[in-house]
Amino acid sequence: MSDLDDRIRGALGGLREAAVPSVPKLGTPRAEPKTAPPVLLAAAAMLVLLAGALTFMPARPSATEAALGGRIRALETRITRIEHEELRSLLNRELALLRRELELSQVK
Amino acid sequence: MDDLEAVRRGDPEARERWVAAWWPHVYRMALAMTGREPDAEDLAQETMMAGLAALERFRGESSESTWLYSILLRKHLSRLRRPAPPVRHPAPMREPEVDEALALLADLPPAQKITATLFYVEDLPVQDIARALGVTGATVKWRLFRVRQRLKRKLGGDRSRIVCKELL
Repeated sequence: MSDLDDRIRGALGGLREAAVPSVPKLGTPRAEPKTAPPVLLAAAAMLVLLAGALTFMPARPSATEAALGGRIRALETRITRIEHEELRSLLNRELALLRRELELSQVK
Repeated sequence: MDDLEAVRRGDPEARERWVAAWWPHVYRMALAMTGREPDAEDLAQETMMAGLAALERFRGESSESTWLYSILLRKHLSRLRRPAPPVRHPAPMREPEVDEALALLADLPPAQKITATLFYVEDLPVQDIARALGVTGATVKWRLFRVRQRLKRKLGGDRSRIVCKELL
């Protein structure tokens, strides 16, 4: 140990003379949470819900079904406005064909 | 170590004994780091609370002192990152020796300050200091070298003043 080390040790050793305040009454430390924090639980619940939704929710209609459905609804609206008997009958036949097509596409 | 086991089991008396045994060491180290008694008391309390809370995880791979000082350093650095709290009350009167020691440490960066205090005040060997601070022994030696360089100037200055005073 050098002379410089001794001098530093001597000078810093003064810290040992520092008055120490009385020992504090420390409250019981908060126990580390043994269960998962709420954020993790919420995330897990959301994942379960998502999995359930993907499993049990009906599948989204395919593009063809959606298109057929749109055409049927449009035709139904149009038919209600038509007064010409023959034209209405023709359109009703077309509507019946479209419904049948839709049924068949859902069976596949 | 028996006491440590008892503290872990939640024995309140063992807990009090454990806190009382480490309090002066932790407080003095906190004083060296902060340079102000009220801040030192806060830092020491925070360190002891964190130590008690983490005692379950302490596996005895290092000494208790090394482990507690590592907590103290982390707490101190995190306090330095926060905005400084308002001064609550003036520091009490100090012994001149304490004043001199704190003045010597005042200008050192935190890493050098704690290294110097662990080495020169707590008399810890280089390897224990390295474990407490999570650095290599070579880093500790380098920090001590820098501490010597800085303090040499300060101590040299003091000595020349004393010589001049004696000549008068």
